[in-house]
Amino acid sequence: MEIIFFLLPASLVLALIAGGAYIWSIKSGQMDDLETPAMRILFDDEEVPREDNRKQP
Amino acid sequence: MDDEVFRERFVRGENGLSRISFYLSGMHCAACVWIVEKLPEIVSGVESASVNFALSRVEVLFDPEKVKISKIASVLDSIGYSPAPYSDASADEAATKSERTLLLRMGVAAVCASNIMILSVALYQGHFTGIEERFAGLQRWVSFLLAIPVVLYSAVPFYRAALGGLRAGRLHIDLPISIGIAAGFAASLFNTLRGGSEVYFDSVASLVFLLLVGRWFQQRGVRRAVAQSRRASSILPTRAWVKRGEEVCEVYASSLQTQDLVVVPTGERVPADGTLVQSPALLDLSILSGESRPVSIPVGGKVFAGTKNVGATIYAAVEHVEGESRIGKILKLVEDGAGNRAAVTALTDRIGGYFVAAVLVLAAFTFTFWLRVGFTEALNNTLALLVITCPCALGLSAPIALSVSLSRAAKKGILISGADVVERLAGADAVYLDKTGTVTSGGAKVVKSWFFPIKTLISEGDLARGILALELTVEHPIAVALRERFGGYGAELEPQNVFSRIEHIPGRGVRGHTGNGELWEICSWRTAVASIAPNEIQTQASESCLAEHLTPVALSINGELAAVFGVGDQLREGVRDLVAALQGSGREVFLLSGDANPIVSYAAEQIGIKAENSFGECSPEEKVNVITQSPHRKAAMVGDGVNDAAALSAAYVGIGVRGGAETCLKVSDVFVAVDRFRRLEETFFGADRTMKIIKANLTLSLIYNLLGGGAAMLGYVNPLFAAVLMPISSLTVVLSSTLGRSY
Repeated sequence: MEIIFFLLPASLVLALIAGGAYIWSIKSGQMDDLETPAMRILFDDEEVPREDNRKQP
Repeated sequence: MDDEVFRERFVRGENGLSRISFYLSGMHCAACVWIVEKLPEIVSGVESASVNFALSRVEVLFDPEKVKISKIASVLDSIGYSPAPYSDASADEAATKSERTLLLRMGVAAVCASNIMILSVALYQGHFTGIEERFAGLQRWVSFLLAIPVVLYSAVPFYRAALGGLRAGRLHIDLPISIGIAAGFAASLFNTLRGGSEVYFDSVASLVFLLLVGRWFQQRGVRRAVAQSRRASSILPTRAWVKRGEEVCEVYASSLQTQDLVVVPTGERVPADGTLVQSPALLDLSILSGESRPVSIPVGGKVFAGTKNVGATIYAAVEHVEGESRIGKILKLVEDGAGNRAAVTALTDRIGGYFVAAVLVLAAFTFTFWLRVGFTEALNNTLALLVITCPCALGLSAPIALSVSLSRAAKKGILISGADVVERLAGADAVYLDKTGTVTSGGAKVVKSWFFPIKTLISEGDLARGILALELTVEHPIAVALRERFGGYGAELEPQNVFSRIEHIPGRGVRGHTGNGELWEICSWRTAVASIAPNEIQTQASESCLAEHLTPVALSINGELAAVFGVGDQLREGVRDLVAALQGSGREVFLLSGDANPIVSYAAEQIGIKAENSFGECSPEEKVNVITQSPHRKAAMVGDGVNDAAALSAAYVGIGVRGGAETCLKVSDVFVAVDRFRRLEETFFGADRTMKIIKANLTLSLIYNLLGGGAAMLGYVNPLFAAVLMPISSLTVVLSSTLGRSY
């Protein structure tokens, strides 16, 4: 059962990585608006490459 | 929109591109988002358009060299989403920042609490089947490490609120929470160091997490509701027309200077206080005085910002702009007063105080009692008590139920400015209704008509066209009412095609001569009967008008009375039902108005309000007196956002129904759009239902606390017991608050 002395810290490292990703997503503003991105998946425009390379928001 | 002043206020720039945000009305669904985000394809010069659906906002990134703001706005308007400039960027940034911080705290608590829970399983199991001390120790130490960020970072808002409450001399509901967290953490640490004993890291961490979730819901709901409220246009016009030399140009209203000559066409609102020049005016002063009948102002007289021009185009020399105008001053007074409003203690704060006191007393008792057995037992049981007696229902149920109510109400068009308002709505035992514009529709209308047989043969269509033709030449509210009534008979009517000669009799009416010698006259009843003797039916018609407090207007053709119209302010649909419903719920209903007493008592009778409950001829100050001197301490006021400002602010809870959401919410607690007038019932009853849910949750919570606290005091609580019971009780409360029927 001594393996737990290794497994515990290992899983904590994983938890920390997940936490870090969460913090990054909040700070980069991904959580500011939770409704509108859900609607954007319904748009079915074809992405036509433009000469000036402007992308759809 | 393109001038410097506007830009300074609304536009932000970066890298040669500019950013501007608009509120959009009319966003319903994904298709709306899609089409607005297509803006770059419709207007060249626009780089991107990014919509925030929940807040009804769009942020447009554009090149100011290539496209003007006014073009962007007019395109948005033309595709069906009328834009209003959004200026509260700094307040919004602060709101976003605080939301993000809350999410961060919540996330940290979630990660740590869940991992602690996983570790706790080993400890629980060990409780029953035995566990080697070194492994138990490992679990405890790691749990301790994970609990540190929760206790020192995530729980900070609770400490702040608790300390703030203490400084203000109050027992804030976050105080037992803070004590529980701190004590639970400290004692668990103590036990971890000692080894072989109980730890409560999991209960503490999950408590913090669940409470933060409740706060997050609350914050989001309120922010959503407030954003919706700011969308509507305000009472003061943002643009104005100024005559400079020979030209008339459109400018931003805040850039008006004194001595500017403003032009106010028919139907527009006066942009600033000033002196009338060139021609007399006919103005609707209802937003300042409450009177729906227009007042004529002679040349040289004063005109006030916000009043509506119902006569011909007028010109005025500006004297006071925006903030200095009479309306600006009224709004400012009310704004300042709003801050001084007596703090209405929320339900939870009140009960929270008692709860805290009770828990602390019981804890002290438990400790002293168990001390006889041993220090460890005393400590453990006291801690168990502090941790398990969860003010979760108070901390969770009320905020969640209230914020769910707020957003549900907002979806129905009832904009409530804060959670405590819901409690006040439910507690209001009297409702004061303003008459003009609230109970009545605020515009002159032809309420009744009588037509009499005459010698001259005229078809129905010709009769209508004749009336319309004459009234098109008159700028008078009665003319407006008649035009509306007969407007369907030919919008492009040229009066000179119908009548060869039209005379206006000032103050009396209008006369028209047709090509084939007919003489038509529309004037007041009194003028008409001065030259024509009415028969019995016709006299009855006019008396019926007066009995119903309508102005009788007569049409005569070739010396005979052809018709009588009763013009007045019509009661809104559903007012009677509203009054009956409110009275049925145990609330007394009153009527307040600036109009003459007979008209007001008549209206009161029409809608079911007792005669002694109707107050006429009230100035804005008198309305305030009626409310503050009312025998009902908890009086709600329903009125117009601008001219009832003081009364709305003085009432226990104020509900604004006209004048724009922004203006209303500065002085009142609720805004109900007038086209959703029937929602007024919902406003009160939804609040009643919400409070019922909260009370039910409080009862549940009380039972839970009695059972749990009792078990703790008796020594039956181990960490497993606490860890299981608390999340279950919190979850039950959360579910009941979210799914309960409120609005």
